[in-house]
Order: sequence, then C-alpha cells, then structure tokens
Amino acid sequence: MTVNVKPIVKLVDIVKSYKTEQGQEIHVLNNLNAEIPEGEFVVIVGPSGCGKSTLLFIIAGLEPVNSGTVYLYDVKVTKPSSKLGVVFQETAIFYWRTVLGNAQYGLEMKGIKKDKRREIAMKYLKMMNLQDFINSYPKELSGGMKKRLAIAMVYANDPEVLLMDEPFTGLDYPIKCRLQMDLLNIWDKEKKTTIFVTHDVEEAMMLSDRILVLDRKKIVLVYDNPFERPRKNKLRDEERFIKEVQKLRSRFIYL
Amino acid sequence: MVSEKISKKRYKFNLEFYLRIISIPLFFLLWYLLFEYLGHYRIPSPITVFRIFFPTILDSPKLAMAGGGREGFLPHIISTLYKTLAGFTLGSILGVGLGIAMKWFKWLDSSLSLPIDFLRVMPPLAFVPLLFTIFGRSLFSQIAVIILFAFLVVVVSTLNAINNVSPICQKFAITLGATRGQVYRTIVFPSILPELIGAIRVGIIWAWGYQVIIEMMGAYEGIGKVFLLTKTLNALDLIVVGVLWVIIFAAIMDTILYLVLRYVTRWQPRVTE
Repeated sequence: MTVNVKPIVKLVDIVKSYKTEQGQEIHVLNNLNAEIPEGEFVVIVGPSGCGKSTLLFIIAGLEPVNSGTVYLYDVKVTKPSSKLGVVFQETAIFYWRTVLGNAQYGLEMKGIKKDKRREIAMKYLKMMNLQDFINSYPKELSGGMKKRLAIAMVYANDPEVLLMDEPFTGLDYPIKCRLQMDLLNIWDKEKKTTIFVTHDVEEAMMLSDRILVLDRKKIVLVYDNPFERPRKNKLRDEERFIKEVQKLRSRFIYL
Repeated sequence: MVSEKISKKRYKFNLEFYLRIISIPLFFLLWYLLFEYLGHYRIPSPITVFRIFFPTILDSPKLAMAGGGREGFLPHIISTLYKTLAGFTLGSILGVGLGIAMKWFKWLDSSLSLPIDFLRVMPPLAFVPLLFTIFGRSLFSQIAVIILFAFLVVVVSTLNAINNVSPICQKFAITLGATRGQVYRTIVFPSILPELIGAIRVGIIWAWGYQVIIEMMGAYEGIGKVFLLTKTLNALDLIVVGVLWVIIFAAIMDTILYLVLRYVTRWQPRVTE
C-alpha cells in the first residue's frame, strides 16, 4: 500500500553508538534512513537488542545521536516534546493520581481549562473502556488496564506522532491480543501516525501498514502489509495470515 | 475434625484477646506492688499519681513552691509543645526546600553535601551548651537545636527520596509536555511525600525528647524545667506525672502523623509476596 502523502517523520543517516563501562564502543545504528508518511501505522521489528528501542527514543528526542538527523514535519527533533508521544514498555502511569487525573495530565500541563480537559480525557478513557474507573487509583487496575490507561493518556494529549516501545511485551497472549484490538480501535478513529516497536512478528503483522525490519544496524527490509483493514482477532487463525508471518519471520532470520 | 480445629482457633483467639486486656492493669498492679515493697521515698504510688494527675494540670502547690509558677503543669506543657512543633516545622520546611534546590542546582548539591554529611552525625544536644553560652538561655537557643535537627533529618530524607523517584515516570511526564518545574511539582513531590512524612514521624518524637532535655539543661519553662525543679523537691509523684505527659504527647503526635501517613500513602500498591 503506497501512499502519496508527505512524510511526517524522516530519519536521515542516523548513526548511534554506546560506550560500555569498560570503554568499548558499541555501534547500534549505522547510517539508518527511513521515511514515515502521515497517518501510517509503521512497525519496526528486529531481534532483541538490535537497537529498535534506541531508535524509537532517538525519534522521540530522548536519546542523542552521534550523527544524522530526525525530522518531524521538516523540523529537526532535538529534545522530547508533547508532539512526540511515547508509550513505554514499563508502564509509567502516575500512581498518586486517579485514572481521570492521569488521563488529564498532559492537558493539565498545557494549561487547558478544567471542563475542557475533563471532556477530552473522558472521550479517550471511554475508547479504552476505562470509564467505570475514573476515580480509582491505578493500584486497583489490572496490568492490561494500566496499559490501556497509558495509551489513553498519550492519545488525549494529541501528539503528532505516537511512539510505542514494545508496550505489550511480557503480557500473556490473550491480554496481548485484546490490547492489540483496543489499539487498532482507537487508531482507526483518528489515524494517528504511529511507530510501534516489537520483536513479535505476529503482532507486527496484525497491527501494521508497513513493517520495517531492523537488523545489523540498518533497515534491511521494508514490507508492505497485504491484509485489509479492519483486522479482527480471528485473522490470526487464518492460514494465509500464518503463512505470511512465517514467511516474514524466516526472511529476516536469514538476512 | 473440622469442628475441633475451629474450636481450637477460637480458644487461642480468646486467650490473646484477654492477655491484651489485662496487660495494662497488670502493669499498674506491678507498679503498686513495687511501691509497697520499696516505699514512697523510692517510687511514688500509682494511686497518688492518678489522684494528682488532673488537678495539677492547672494548679500544683508543690510546683509553685519550687518556682514553677502558679498555674500548674499546663503552661509548661504548652511551652515544650510549641517549641518542639515550631522548631520542627521550620526545620522541615527548610530541609525540604534545600533538598529540592540541591537536586535542581547541581552545584548546590556538590558544595553542600559534605557539610551536611558531617553535621548529620553529630549529636544535636552537643550544640546546646555552646548556644546557651553565646545566645543565653533564650527561646532562640532552645529552638535552634530542634530546627537544626529537623533540617538535617528532612534534607537527607528528601535527597534520598528524590533519588528514588521513578525515572521512567519523569520521562513519561516530559513526553506529555511537562516542563522541568512541572515535573518537580507533579511527579517528584508527590513521589517523595510518603518517605518524607515517614521520616518526620520518627524525627519529631526524637525532637520532642531532645526538647525536654534541652529544657533540663537550663530553660525558664517547659516540662524539662519541671523535672529540674522537682528534682530539688524530690517530688517523685510530680516527676512521674511529667513523664506521663511526655509519653502522652509523644503518642498523640505519633498517632496524628500515622493518620497523615496513611492518607498520603493511600495510592500506594501494597507489596504482596
């Protein structure tokens, strides 16, 4: 599916390396280039430790690069901002605020008035099916519900791009599937440009418009997702889906 | 078999319950027996103590005779209370303020952390003779030690607590658009509050005890002063009354802070193993 839409996020010649405590220099990304058009749901897959989370943090402005630039709407990204919303792998919600207080957080920091921010927060909490828990503290929520809250918080803040760092890794399979459906539901309503990182190829196939395979410090494969939307859970069991996932998985293991 | 287990459980439960109930009266019984054995020159009778406890709040001829004023214990209790509370509150506010400032300005942390570590290990009471000599036995001298003590306890607690604030929560707040100041106000401060209140709860009981001792070292009024006066009279019953007041207010302060702590930590998930 090629879209003739202007790219919203551009990665130009990104080079990134770390120094370990022993003084060794570890190269993580080497002249990485990519373009992500507006409204696309892009998934970055790769083996664990290949630098995909690092890449996501670089796009978010949370990590510096050795050289190269990240552009958001042709403006250089140098520091984090509310334009680049992030859902972290570790659930980073605020336990001392109620569910509603959490959802309103970004809006509160922007200075939006009480009534307006309550309205916006409630809209996204409803989309994530958390409307019955608005006055509860996060300690009363299950793991999956906490993830949904984090997603609602970032969506309520209306970022230009949504960045998600393996948010569903570590959850058990049925909850993962449920959360993926929730995410697709909410994405469907506003088609917000999303960059999602995971090592789970099935997850990538279920969520993406395009998959970028990150291996050996570069994007080595760009894969257009053939499956039509809206996607339902039962797609996972269909033979063509399983075949496609296997095909992709095998391609990047041997790359 | 099941009924056997249940009846055993109920039996055990009853024993614990009754033990708790009789523990306090048992203590007073032992006190009384000790009094009978040692005589009233060595230990006051619990009955005497109870008899004079309430009247002496407002009027104690013995105390007046020793130089403690005509209004009984009350002015002394109020004096020690407000010195402790005022001193501790002021010291705490300074402590939190400086702790946060030191984390905000790295240069402040570098320059102050060694002096603080040094002062922290010194016994606060060691400063009292020095202060009394330089500033006299004024209110200032008495409260200064409490302020210093509270300040050190709270600043160390604040610095530690801020180090433990979840970095991922701070990052998340920034990606949601919070400025550094907003992160401190909405993330750091609520996160450190439980630990702070916990430290204050312990600290204020120590401060209460220190204040009494400072007064014994030569103040003009306060419960410590009462101890000093009653020593000359050898009025053991008044001493015990004084001790009871110290214990009562320590318990009250502890309970109030416990309730505050419970409210402040109402959002914390309980750790279950």
